[in-house]
Formats: sequence, structure tokens, C-alpha cells
Amino acid sequence: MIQRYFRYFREMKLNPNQGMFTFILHRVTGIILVIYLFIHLWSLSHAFEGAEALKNAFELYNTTLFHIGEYLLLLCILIHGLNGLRLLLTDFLPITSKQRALWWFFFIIFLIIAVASLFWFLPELPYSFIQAR
Amino acid sequence: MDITKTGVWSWLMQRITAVYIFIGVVVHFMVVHYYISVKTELIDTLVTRITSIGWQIFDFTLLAAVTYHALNGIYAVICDLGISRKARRGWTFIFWILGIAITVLGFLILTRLVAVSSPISINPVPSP
Repeated sequence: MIQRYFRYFREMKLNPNQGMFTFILHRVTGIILVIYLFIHLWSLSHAFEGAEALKNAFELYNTTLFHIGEYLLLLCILIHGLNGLRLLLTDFLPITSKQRALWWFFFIIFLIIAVASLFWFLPELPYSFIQAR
Repeated sequence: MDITKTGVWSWLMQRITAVYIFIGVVVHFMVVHYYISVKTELIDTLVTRITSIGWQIFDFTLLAAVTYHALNGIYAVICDLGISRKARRGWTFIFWILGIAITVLGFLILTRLVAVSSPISINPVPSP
């Protein structure tokens, strides 16, 4: 049953194109985001133990490892979100003939946001080294 | 998403929730990670935001939409494995129970966050 999933990778090897690549990326980032949703709820559920426990739980996230993780999470959200927007546009607008150009358009938007967000993420790294010790 | 396996409502609702989540996640991310900087006292700014009813409604509806979108996505992944019609109905039932459980848990967490943060709120942030 699981072997059915390997056909996507076999297809990717036989016919390496943008569509298959983004399909696999969309699935993988989607599953990562579902796992993140559960972690997010779990970390907020520290509120059941009071404000201090919540504060201590948040302290853990102000470390270098988690700041790098936050950036990877942003990349996952960007890939899934922008690809989802591309899917929405191709589903509801008659622009299927221009979908290859649309793919490159969204790829450039992804690169711009991914690089620009480094200006916000990188300054937090040295600060967190001091905090985490 | 294979529309012949998951059904048309599953497909359409996935699109509708996607639009709401796309806007909602941008707002949520900007408010939590840009407006509230890491260098400020995170917990204090978080609690002042969460005590306003507008943000509570926003957070809860976003959670409900994300839960539906996430579980519907996993359902589509499972349908792609090539399971029988009966098994699909079983998974639909399991995911509805799981989704309602997560949404109720999220609501409880939200009310708890409000209860925890109410006494220490100093200057409430205006709701959107």
C-alpha cells in the first residue's frame, strides 16, 4: 500500500518536471505543517498549568536551534502557501496555458520573501546565543 | 487532491479554507512575529492581545479552518493510497471526531490563555 507512494518518486526520476516536483513538495510541507500544528497546540496548552509554565515553555523557543527551526517553518509555509495560491489560480481562472510562466512567477516571489525575511531572522540569532547560554 | 476519491465538497471546502488561512496566517504571523518582537516581553504582549474578543474570534476561526484543512489534506493523502470506499467512509468518520476534538481542545486552551492573562494585562491592544 505504502509502495504506491514510491511511484511518485519513480515518476519524478523518469519525468523530472516542475509539476511533479512541486506536487511532492506540497505533500511533504503539508505533512510537516500538520505535525507543527500539533506541536503549536501542545506548547500553548502549557496555559493549563498557569502563566509561569507558559513563560518557561516560551523560553525554550528563544534558542538558536528553534530560531533556525522557525525559519525552516517559514520556508514550509511559503512553499505550501504560494503553491496553494498557484493551484487556486489554475483551478478557478482560465490560465492553464500559461501555468509554466505562473510557476516561475511564484518561484521568484518565494525567493524574494525567503531572502528578505533573513533580514528579520538573522539578527535574532546572536541574541538567542546570549539568552540560551 | 483526487476529486473522484475525496468528493466534491472535500475539494471545494479545501479551497475555501485555503483562502481564509492564506489571509489569516499572514495576519497571525505579522502580529505574533513582527508587531510583537522577540526582544519585547513576549508573554505580556501576547496576553494583552489575547484578552480582546476580536482576536479571540480570529484565533478560534483560524484554528477551526486550519484543523479542517489539515485533516482534509491527510484524508486526501490516504485516499491516494488506493483504499476501498468503505475504508474511506471510516477515515472520514475518524477525522471528523479527531477534528472536533482538536477544535474543542483549542477552544479550551484559548479560554485558559484568556483566564491566565487577564490579571496581568496592562494596556489592551485594540481588536482588528
